[in-house]
Amino acid sequence: MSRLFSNDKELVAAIQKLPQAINPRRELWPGIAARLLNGGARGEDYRRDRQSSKRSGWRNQAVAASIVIAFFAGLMSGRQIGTEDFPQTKGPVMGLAMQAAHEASEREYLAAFREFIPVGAARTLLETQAVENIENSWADLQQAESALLAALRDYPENTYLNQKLLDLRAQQLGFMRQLAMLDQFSRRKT
Amino acid sequence: MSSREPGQPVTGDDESSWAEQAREGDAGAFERLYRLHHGRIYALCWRLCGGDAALAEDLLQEAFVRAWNKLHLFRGDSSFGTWMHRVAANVALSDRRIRLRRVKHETHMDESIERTAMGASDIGQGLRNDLEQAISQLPERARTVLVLYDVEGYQHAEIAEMTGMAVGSSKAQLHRARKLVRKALNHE
Repeated sequence: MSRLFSNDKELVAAIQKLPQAINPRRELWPGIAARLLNGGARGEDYRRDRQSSKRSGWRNQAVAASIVIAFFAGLMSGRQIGTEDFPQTKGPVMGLAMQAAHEASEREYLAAFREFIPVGAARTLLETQAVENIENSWADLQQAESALLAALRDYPENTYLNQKLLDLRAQQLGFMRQLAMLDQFSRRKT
Repeated sequence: MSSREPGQPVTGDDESSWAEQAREGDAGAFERLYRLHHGRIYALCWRLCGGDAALAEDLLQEAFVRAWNKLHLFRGDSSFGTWMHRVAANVALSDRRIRLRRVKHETHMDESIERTAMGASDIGQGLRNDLEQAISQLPERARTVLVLYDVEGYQHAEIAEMTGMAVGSSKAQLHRARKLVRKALNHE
Protein backbone atom coordinates (compact mmCIF):
# COMPACT_ATOMS: atom_id res chain seq x y z
CA MET A 1 0.00 0.00 0.00
CA SER A 2 1.02 3.53 -0.48
CA ARG A 3 2.60 5.59 2.19
CA LEU A 4 1.67 9.11 3.13
CA PHE A 5 3.93 11.96 2.15
CA SER A 6 3.63 14.84 4.53
CA ASN A 7 5.65 17.20 2.36
CA ASP A 8 7.09 17.63 -1.12
CA LYS A 9 10.58 16.71 -0.01
CA GLU A 10 9.52 13.19 0.91
CA LEU A 11 7.54 12.87 -2.27
CA VAL A 12 10.43 14.03 -4.46
CA ALA A 13 12.76 11.64 -2.68
CA ALA A 14 10.41 8.78 -3.53
CA ILE A 15 9.95 9.92 -7.12
CA GLN A 16 13.69 10.04 -7.60
CA LYS A 17 13.89 6.40 -6.59
CA LEU A 18 11.63 5.35 -9.45
CA PRO A 19 13.50 3.27 -12.04
CA GLN A 20 15.25 5.36 -14.64
CA ALA A 21 14.94 2.66 -17.26
CA ILE A 22 12.02 0.46 -18.22
CA ASN A 23 12.02 -2.35 -20.74
CA PRO A 24 9.53 -2.04 -23.58
CA ARG A 25 7.06 -4.90 -23.86
CA ARG A 26 8.56 -6.06 -27.11
CA GLU A 27 11.69 -5.82 -29.21
CA LEU A 28 11.53 -2.49 -31.01
CA TRP A 29 14.86 -2.37 -32.77
CA PRO A 30 13.83 -4.31 -35.92
CA GLY A 31 11.17 -1.72 -36.67
CA ILE A 32 13.65 1.08 -36.19
CA ALA A 33 16.27 -0.68 -38.30
CA ALA A 34 13.84 -1.21 -41.13
CA ARG A 35 12.94 2.46 -41.10
CA LEU A 36 16.39 3.90 -40.87
CA LEU A 37 18.11 1.55 -43.29
CA ASN A 38 15.39 1.20 -45.84
CA GLY A 39 12.26 3.11 -45.12
CA GLY A 40 13.72 6.10 -43.31
CA ALA A 41 13.84 8.11 -46.48
CA ARG A 42 11.04 6.23 -48.13
CA GLY A 43 8.38 8.75 -47.35
CA GLU A 44 10.45 11.56 -48.77
CA ASP A 45 11.52 9.52 -51.78
CA TYR A 46 7.97 8.54 -52.48
CA ARG A 47 6.71 12.10 -52.26
CA ARG A 48 9.62 13.25 -54.41
CA ASP A 49 8.85 10.53 -56.93
CA ARG A 50 5.25 11.62 -57.07
CA GLN A 51 6.10 15.30 -57.44
CA SER A 52 8.75 14.54 -60.02
CA SER A 53 6.28 12.45 -61.98
CA LYS A 54 3.80 15.29 -61.99
CA ARG A 55 6.40 17.78 -63.11
CA SER A 56 8.06 15.74 -65.81
CA GLY A 57 5.32 15.83 -68.32
CA TRP A 58 4.12 12.33 -67.74
CA ARG A 59 1.02 12.90 -69.74
CA ASN A 60 3.18 12.59 -72.82
CA GLN A 61 4.92 9.51 -71.53
CA ALA A 62 1.95 7.70 -70.11
CA VAL A 63 1.03 5.70 -73.15
CA ALA A 64 4.59 4.61 -73.77
CA ALA A 65 5.07 3.77 -70.14
CA SER A 66 2.08 1.51 -70.19
CA ILE A 67 3.64 -0.44 -73.01
CA VAL A 68 6.93 -0.61 -71.21
CA ILE A 69 5.27 -1.93 -68.11
CA ALA A 70 3.69 -4.63 -70.20
CA PHE A 71 7.09 -5.31 -71.68
CA PHE A 72 8.76 -5.60 -68.33
CA ALA A 73 5.92 -7.64 -66.94
CA GLY A 74 6.44 -10.11 -69.74
CA LEU A 75 10.18 -9.98 -69.27
CA MET A 76 10.08 -10.50 -65.55
CA SER A 77 7.09 -12.78 -65.15
CA GLY A 78 9.27 -15.70 -66.12
CA ARG A 79 11.67 -14.85 -63.38
CA GLN A 80 11.12 -16.55 -60.08
CA ILE A 81 11.71 -14.14 -57.31
CA GLY A 82 11.93 -15.84 -53.99
CA THR A 83 13.91 -15.84 -50.88
CA GLU A 84 16.66 -17.76 -52.62
CA ASP A 85 17.36 -14.64 -54.66
CA PHE A 86 17.85 -12.67 -51.56
CA PRO A 87 21.08 -13.07 -49.68
CA GLN A 88 20.58 -14.75 -46.37
CA THR A 89 21.96 -12.61 -43.64
CA LYS A 90 23.29 -14.51 -40.74
CA GLY A 91 26.00 -14.47 -38.20
CA PRO A 92 26.78 -12.07 -35.43
CA VAL A 93 28.37 -9.47 -37.68
CA MET A 94 25.22 -8.84 -39.69
CA GLY A 95 23.17 -8.43 -36.59
CA LEU A 96 19.50 -8.19 -36.06
CA ALA A 97 19.22 -4.74 -37.55
CA MET A 98 20.39 -5.54 -41.05
CA GLN A 99 18.53 -8.83 -41.11
CA ALA A 100 15.28 -7.15 -40.16
CA ALA A 101 15.86 -4.43 -42.70
CA HIS A 102 16.47 -7.03 -45.41
CA GLU A 103 13.34 -8.92 -44.51
CA ALA A 104 11.24 -5.77 -44.57
CA SER A 105 12.82 -4.70 -47.85
CA GLU A 106 12.24 -8.08 -49.40
CA ARG A 107 8.58 -8.15 -48.36
CA GLU A 108 7.98 -4.72 -49.82
CA TYR A 109 9.87 -5.49 -52.99
CA LEU A 110 7.96 -8.71 -53.61
CA ALA A 111 4.62 -7.09 -52.82
CA ALA A 112 5.34 -4.26 -55.23
CA PHE A 113 6.50 -6.69 -57.86
CA ARG A 114 3.28 -8.69 -57.59
CA GLU A 115 1.31 -5.50 -58.17
CA PHE A 116 3.65 -4.52 -60.95
CA ILE A 117 2.76 -7.49 -63.16
CA PRO A 118 -1.05 -7.05 -63.13
CA VAL A 119 -0.61 -3.35 -63.76
CA GLY A 120 1.43 -4.17 -66.83
CA ALA A 121 -1.47 -5.85 -68.60
CA ALA A 122 -2.37 -2.73 -70.58
CA ARG A 123 -1.14 -2.53 -74.14
CA THR A 124 -1.28 0.64 -76.15
CA LEU A 125 0.98 2.47 -78.59
CA LEU A 126 4.71 2.27 -78.25
CA GLU A 127 6.99 5.26 -78.33
CA THR A 128 10.46 4.00 -79.05
CA GLN A 129 12.58 6.62 -77.35
CA ALA A 130 10.62 6.51 -74.10
CA VAL A 131 10.76 2.76 -74.07
CA GLU A 132 14.49 2.76 -74.59
CA ASN A 133 15.01 5.22 -71.76
CA ILE A 134 12.99 3.19 -69.33
CA GLU A 135 14.51 -0.07 -70.51
CA ASN A 136 17.98 1.30 -70.00
CA SER A 137 17.16 2.56 -66.52
CA TRP A 138 15.74 -0.77 -65.50
CA ALA A 139 18.62 -2.64 -67.07
CA ASP A 140 21.05 -0.55 -65.03
CA LEU A 141 19.18 -1.41 -61.85
CA GLN A 142 19.12 -5.08 -62.76
CA GLN A 143 22.80 -5.05 -63.57
CA ALA A 144 23.59 -3.43 -60.24
CA GLU A 145 21.43 -6.01 -58.50
CA SER A 146 23.21 -8.91 -60.18
CA ALA A 147 26.60 -7.49 -59.27
CA LEU A 148 25.60 -6.92 -55.66
CA LEU A 149 24.07 -10.37 -55.28
CA ALA A 150 27.20 -11.94 -56.75
CA ALA A 151 29.39 -9.99 -54.35
CA LEU A 152 27.16 -10.89 -51.43
CA ARG A 153 27.48 -14.57 -52.22
CA ASP A 154 31.19 -14.18 -51.51
CA TYR A 155 30.82 -11.73 -48.64
CA PRO A 156 27.35 -12.35 -47.16
CA GLU A 157 28.06 -10.40 -44.00
CA ASN A 158 29.55 -7.32 -45.56
CA THR A 159 27.64 -4.39 -44.09
CA TYR A 160 28.43 -2.02 -46.93
CA LEU A 161 27.21 -4.43 -49.60
CA ASN A 162 24.06 -5.24 -47.67
CA GLN A 163 23.28 -1.60 -47.22
CA LYS A 164 23.84 -0.98 -50.92
CA LEU A 165 21.40 -3.74 -51.72
CA LEU A 166 18.81 -2.11 -49.48
CA ASP A 167 19.37 1.17 -51.29
CA LEU A 168 18.99 -0.57 -54.61
CA ARG A 169 15.73 -2.20 -53.52
CA ALA A 170 14.42 1.24 -52.66
CA GLN A 171 15.37 2.50 -56.11
CA GLN A 172 13.69 -0.46 -57.78
CA LEU A 173 10.55 0.16 -55.75
CA GLY A 174 10.55 3.80 -56.73
CA PHE A 175 10.98 2.84 -60.36
CA MET A 176 8.09 0.39 -60.24
CA ARG A 177 5.88 2.88 -58.46
CA GLN A 178 6.54 5.53 -61.06
CA LEU A 179 5.72 3.18 -63.87
CA ALA A 180 2.60 1.97 -62.11
CA MET A 181 1.43 5.54 -61.64
CA LEU A 182 2.07 6.31 -65.28
CA ASP A 183 0.21 3.21 -66.30
CA GLN A 184 -2.80 4.07 -64.14
CA PHE A 185 -2.85 7.55 -65.59
CA SER A 186 -2.66 6.11 -69.08
CA ARG A 187 -5.65 3.88 -68.36
CA ARG A 188 -7.69 6.79 -67.14
CA LYS A 189 -6.92 8.68 -70.34
CA THR A 190 -7.77 5.79 -72.68
CA MET B 1 32.64 -3.78 -35.15
CA SER B 2 33.37 -3.22 -31.51
CA SER B 3 36.41 -4.77 -29.92
CA ARG B 4 34.74 -4.91 -26.53
CA GLU B 5 34.47 -8.19 -24.70
CA PRO B 6 30.92 -9.35 -24.00
CA GLY B 7 29.77 -8.16 -20.61
CA GLN B 8 32.41 -5.48 -20.39
CA PRO B 9 30.96 -2.20 -19.09
CA VAL B 10 30.29 0.45 -21.68
CA THR B 11 32.49 3.50 -21.27
CA GLY B 12 32.05 7.07 -22.41
CA ASP B 13 34.72 6.41 -25.02
CA ASP B 14 32.73 3.48 -26.39
CA GLU B 15 29.66 5.65 -26.61
CA SER B 16 31.53 8.46 -28.36
CA SER B 17 33.09 6.02 -30.77
CA TRP B 18 29.74 4.43 -31.59
CA ALA B 19 28.17 7.83 -32.09
CA GLU B 20 30.94 8.75 -34.49
CA GLN B 21 30.54 5.51 -36.41
CA ALA B 22 26.77 5.94 -36.51
CA ARG B 23 27.17 9.46 -37.83
CA GLU B 24 29.12 7.95 -40.70
CA GLY B 25 26.24 5.61 -41.45
CA ASP B 26 27.11 2.54 -39.40
CA ALA B 27 23.76 1.12 -38.37
CA GLY B 28 25.44 -1.50 -36.21
CA ALA B 29 27.00 1.21 -34.08
CA PHE B 30 23.65 2.93 -33.84
CA GLU B 31 22.08 -0.32 -32.69
CA ARG B 32 24.63 -0.49 -29.88
CA LEU B 33 23.66 3.01 -28.86
CA TYR B 34 20.04 1.96 -28.96
CA ARG B 35 20.74 -1.04 -26.73
CA LEU B 36 22.55 1.22 -24.32
CA HIS B 37 19.84 3.85 -24.02
CA HIS B 38 16.50 2.39 -25.03
CA GLY B 39 15.38 1.59 -21.49
CA ARG B 40 15.87 5.13 -20.31
CA ILE B 41 14.28 6.59 -23.41
CA TYR B 42 11.33 4.24 -23.14
CA ALA B 43 10.81 5.17 -19.48
CA LEU B 44 10.76 8.84 -20.43
CA CYS B 45 8.26 8.32 -23.24
CA TRP B 46 6.12 5.98 -21.18
CA ARG B 47 5.82 8.46 -18.32
CA LEU B 48 5.29 11.46 -20.56
CA CYS B 49 2.39 9.79 -22.30
CA GLY B 50 0.75 8.70 -19.07
CA GLY B 51 1.62 5.01 -19.10
CA ASP B 52 0.33 4.24 -22.57
CA ALA B 53 2.74 1.48 -23.58
CA ALA B 54 1.75 1.34 -27.25
CA LEU B 55 2.18 5.06 -27.66
CA ALA B 56 5.47 4.97 -25.77
CA GLU B 57 6.74 2.32 -28.16
CA ASP B 58 5.80 4.47 -31.14
CA LEU B 59 7.52 7.45 -29.60
CA LEU B 60 10.66 5.52 -28.83
CA GLN B 61 10.91 4.29 -32.40
CA GLU B 62 10.22 7.73 -33.77
CA ALA B 63 12.82 9.23 -31.46
CA PHE B 64 15.57 6.88 -32.62
CA VAL B 65 14.69 7.34 -36.28
CA ARG B 66 14.71 11.11 -35.74
CA ALA B 67 18.06 10.86 -33.96
CA TRP B 68 19.53 8.83 -36.82
CA ASN B 69 18.40 11.44 -39.30
CA LYS B 70 19.82 14.24 -37.17
CA LEU B 71 23.09 12.63 -36.19
CA HIS B 72 24.99 15.17 -38.26
CA LEU B 73 23.82 17.76 -35.73
CA PHE B 74 25.30 15.84 -32.80
CA ARG B 75 28.61 17.57 -32.10
CA GLY B 76 29.65 15.64 -29.04
CA ASP B 77 29.38 18.63 -26.70
CA SER B 78 27.35 16.41 -24.40
CA SER B 79 27.16 12.63 -24.26
CA PHE B 80 25.11 10.88 -26.89
CA GLY B 81 22.75 9.73 -24.14
CA THR B 82 22.05 13.29 -23.06
CA TRP B 83 21.49 14.40 -26.64
CA MET B 84 19.30 11.38 -27.38
CA HIS B 85 17.25 12.03 -24.27
CA ARG B 86 16.55 15.55 -25.44
CA VAL B 87 15.60 14.35 -28.91
CA ALA B 88 13.18 11.85 -27.40
CA ALA B 89 11.65 14.42 -25.08
CA ASN B 90 11.07 16.76 -27.99
CA VAL B 91 9.53 13.98 -30.05
CA ALA B 92 7.22 13.01 -27.20
CA LEU B 93 6.21 16.56 -26.43
CA SER B 94 5.51 17.51 -30.01
CA ASP B 95 3.60 14.31 -30.58
CA ARG B 96 1.50 14.81 -27.52
CA ARG B 97 0.67 18.33 -28.58
CA ILE B 98 -0.72 16.99 -31.82
CA ARG B 99 -2.60 14.22 -30.14
CA LEU B 100 -4.10 16.47 -27.53
CA ARG B 101 -5.87 18.45 -30.21
CA ARG B 102 -7.67 15.32 -31.36
CA VAL B 103 -7.91 13.09 -28.33
CA LYS B 104 -9.50 14.36 -25.18
CA HIS B 105 -10.02 11.14 -23.29
CA GLU B 106 -7.76 10.13 -20.47
CA THR B 107 -5.24 7.44 -21.08
CA HIS B 108 -4.80 4.74 -18.53
CA MET B 109 -1.61 3.24 -17.40
CA ASP B 110 -1.09 -0.09 -19.09
CA GLU B 111 -0.53 -3.35 -17.35
CA SER B 112 1.66 -3.68 -14.30
CA ILE B 113 5.20 -2.59 -14.91
CA GLU B 114 6.63 -4.87 -12.29
CA ARG B 115 8.40 -7.07 -14.81
CA THR B 116 9.59 -4.28 -17.02
CA ALA B 117 11.85 -2.27 -14.77
CA MET B 118 15.50 -2.56 -15.70
CA GLY B 119 17.97 -2.95 -12.90
CA ALA B 120 17.42 -2.70 -9.21
CA SER B 121 15.10 -0.15 -7.74
CA ASP B 122 15.36 0.88 -4.13
CA ILE B 123 11.70 1.67 -3.83
CA GLY B 124 9.06 -0.84 -2.81
CA GLN B 125 6.96 -2.30 -5.59
CA GLY B 126 3.66 -1.25 -4.05
CA LEU B 127 4.76 2.32 -3.54
CA ARG B 128 6.30 2.41 -6.96
CA ASN B 129 3.09 1.25 -8.64
CA ASP B 130 1.06 3.78 -6.67
CA LEU B 131 3.43 6.58 -7.58
CA GLU B 132 3.49 5.65 -11.25
CA GLN B 133 -0.29 5.42 -11.28
CA ALA B 134 -0.67 8.81 -9.60
CA ILE B 135 1.77 10.42 -12.04
CA SER B 136 0.02 8.86 -15.03
CA GLN B 137 -3.29 10.34 -13.91
CA LEU B 138 -1.97 13.89 -13.68
CA PRO B 139 -3.18 16.49 -16.17
CA GLU B 140 -0.88 16.65 -19.18
CA ARG B 141 1.04 19.80 -18.40
CA ALA B 142 1.49 18.98 -14.75
CA ARG B 143 2.67 15.48 -15.61
CA THR B 144 5.09 16.78 -18.21
CA VAL B 145 6.76 19.14 -15.79
CA LEU B 146 6.88 16.66 -12.94
CA VAL B 147 8.40 13.96 -15.14
CA LEU B 148 10.96 16.28 -16.69
CA TYR B 149 11.90 18.05 -13.45
CA ASP B 150 11.58 15.48 -10.67
CA VAL B 151 12.25 12.28 -12.56
CA GLU B 152 14.57 13.37 -15.35
CA GLY B 153 16.34 16.29 -13.73
CA TYR B 154 15.72 19.05 -16.25
CA GLN B 155 15.71 22.66 -15.05
CA HIS B 156 12.68 24.91 -15.34
CA ALA B 157 14.36 27.01 -18.03
CA GLU B 158 14.96 23.89 -20.11
CA ILE B 159 11.42 22.69 -19.58
CA ALA B 160 10.09 26.08 -20.57
CA GLU B 161 12.11 25.94 -23.77
CA MET B 162 10.99 22.41 -24.57
CA THR B 163 7.33 22.90 -23.82
CA GLY B 164 6.82 26.50 -24.87
CA MET B 165 5.47 27.49 -21.47
CA ALA B 166 6.90 30.27 -19.31
CA VAL B 167 9.36 29.44 -16.55
CA GLY B 168 6.83 30.61 -13.98
CA SER B 169 4.21 28.32 -15.45
CA SER B 170 6.61 25.42 -15.24
CA LYS B 171 7.16 26.10 -11.55
CA ALA B 172 3.44 26.46 -10.95
CA GLN B 173 2.70 23.22 -12.77
CA LEU B 174 5.32 21.40 -10.73
CA HIS B 175 3.79 22.65 -7.50
CA ARG B 176 0.37 21.61 -8.70
CA ALA B 177 1.61 18.19 -9.85
CA ARG B 178 3.26 17.38 -6.54
CA LYS B 179 0.19 18.45 -4.65
CA LEU B 180 -2.05 16.27 -6.81
CA VAL B 181 0.23 13.26 -6.47
CA ARG B 182 0.34 13.59 -2.71
CA LYS B 183 -3.41 13.99 -2.62
CA ALA B 184 -3.92 10.92 -4.78
CA LEU B 185 -1.63 8.82 -2.62
CA ASN B 186 -3.08 10.05 0.63
CA HIS B 187 -6.56 9.09 -0.50
CA GLU B 188 -5.65 5.48 -1.31
